[in-house]
Amino acid sequence: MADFDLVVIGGGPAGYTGAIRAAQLGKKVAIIEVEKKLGGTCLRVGCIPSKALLESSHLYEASSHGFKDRGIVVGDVKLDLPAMLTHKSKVVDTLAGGLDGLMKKHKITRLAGQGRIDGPGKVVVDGAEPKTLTTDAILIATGSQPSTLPNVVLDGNLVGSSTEALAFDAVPKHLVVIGAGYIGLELGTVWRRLGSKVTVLEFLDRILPGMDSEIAADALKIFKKQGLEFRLGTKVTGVKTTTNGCEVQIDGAEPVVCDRVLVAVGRKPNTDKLGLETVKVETDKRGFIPVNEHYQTAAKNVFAVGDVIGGAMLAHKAEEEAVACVEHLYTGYGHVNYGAIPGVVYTEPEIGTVGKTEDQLKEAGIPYRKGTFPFAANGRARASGTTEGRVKMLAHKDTDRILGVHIIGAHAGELIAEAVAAIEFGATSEDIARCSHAHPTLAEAMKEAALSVDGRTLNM
Amino acid sequence: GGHVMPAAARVAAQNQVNPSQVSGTGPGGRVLKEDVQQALSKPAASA
Repeated sequence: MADFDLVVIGGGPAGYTGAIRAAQLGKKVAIIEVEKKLGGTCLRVGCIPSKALLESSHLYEASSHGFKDRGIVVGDVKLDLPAMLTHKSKVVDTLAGGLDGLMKKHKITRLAGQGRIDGPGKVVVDGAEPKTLTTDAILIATGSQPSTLPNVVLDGNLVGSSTEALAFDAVPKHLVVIGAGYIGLELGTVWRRLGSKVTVLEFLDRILPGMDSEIAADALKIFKKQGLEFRLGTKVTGVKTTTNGCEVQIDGAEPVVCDRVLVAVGRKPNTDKLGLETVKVETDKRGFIPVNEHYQTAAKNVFAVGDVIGGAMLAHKAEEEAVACVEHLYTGYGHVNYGAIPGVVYTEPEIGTVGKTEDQLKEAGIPYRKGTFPFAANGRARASGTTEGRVKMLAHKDTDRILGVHIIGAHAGELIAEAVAAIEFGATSEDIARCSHAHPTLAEAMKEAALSVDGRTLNM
Repeated sequence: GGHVMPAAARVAAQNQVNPSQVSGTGPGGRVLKEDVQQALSKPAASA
């Protein structure tokens, strides 16, 4: 008999969620993580620390500039960056401790070291004292790491990834962000609020590639007004570091001189040292592990989920895949609806999106109707002073089924949850329009956008 | 049948029932979890 029913390699959202679900289904589970803390990229150097800094930097900016017209007068507002970073680290430590507790609660064996497959049913933990485990099944959840551009070397200091940009020990005078995706915009926003001049360089002629282009255009206007500088259609050809800082070289233009560079051009899968060759699993051209609809690799009892298999690199996508993979393995049923996985950009205003974009519907020739409603016409948004943005709903022209919802506005990341449930349940715009929404709430903008699909908004 | 709700899809798959053969009693003919459970409790209908 094998030591374990399931060995999970990787302690991120995919790995720990898969481990917990397998334990709930009565399986004997081990989880191997190379880092000291469980939680993976998301908890250690991703979602959680970035949200802590986004919220803290928002409070700093609001108290510095935003309170006066609300009748709150404060003295000089000072930034204590070390304290802000300490708060962030404490949040991470608390949540990591919580994960340790969850592993204990579910009697999951936690092993520290680099997990390496060593042939069918065998996993080696390369730590201080290497040990070999036997197992019936293996779940690979090794995640991803920041990628870079040709001639741009991540030096872990002046030229860094999101990991470094979550822990700068001083506010950069001038931060250049390469890449206008959500990571670049979120961290660019953090340091702009704390006092940096921030220049975002993007190869495409738009920001937030893949998101609804109308909403991305709204976002660009708002971020510019907030003081982020954008140079779109700009190709970075290299970065040089000098004694004083960095020089970002650009195709056909003068280099941009700055003191820090954040490279946020995407992420690549972690498959080094994983021993894939010992079970005859090959990665694809981009380095991802190919899997079938049940997340099984080319090897029979080896599965893979999360960033390492590609697709949307989102924590909740990884979690859904891990649960579906484990449930299918042990119960015969597991499913992920990729059409109903939300994406959120945690800037202010936030951007929340689910389903098809208008661009995708046009391209696929799907007939649709569109409803929009601005937060400027929402009473709660007026009272809160967060009137920027709108809700946009796309529904099928004939069936009225909701195909996509895109929100830019305060708390869009929370508001999008209603749209996710609606899409998952096959709801129409009329269904949402006929649901009571509490007044006054921002969620009423969703109801009004749904009414607007049929041209009958009540409050505009 | 109409749109199959997420939990109904799970019960149907685990019992090898084709959810599109189940009559939905939810809004707009949606197939609910209880509709699949109801279909399972009846003796198999001849095709």
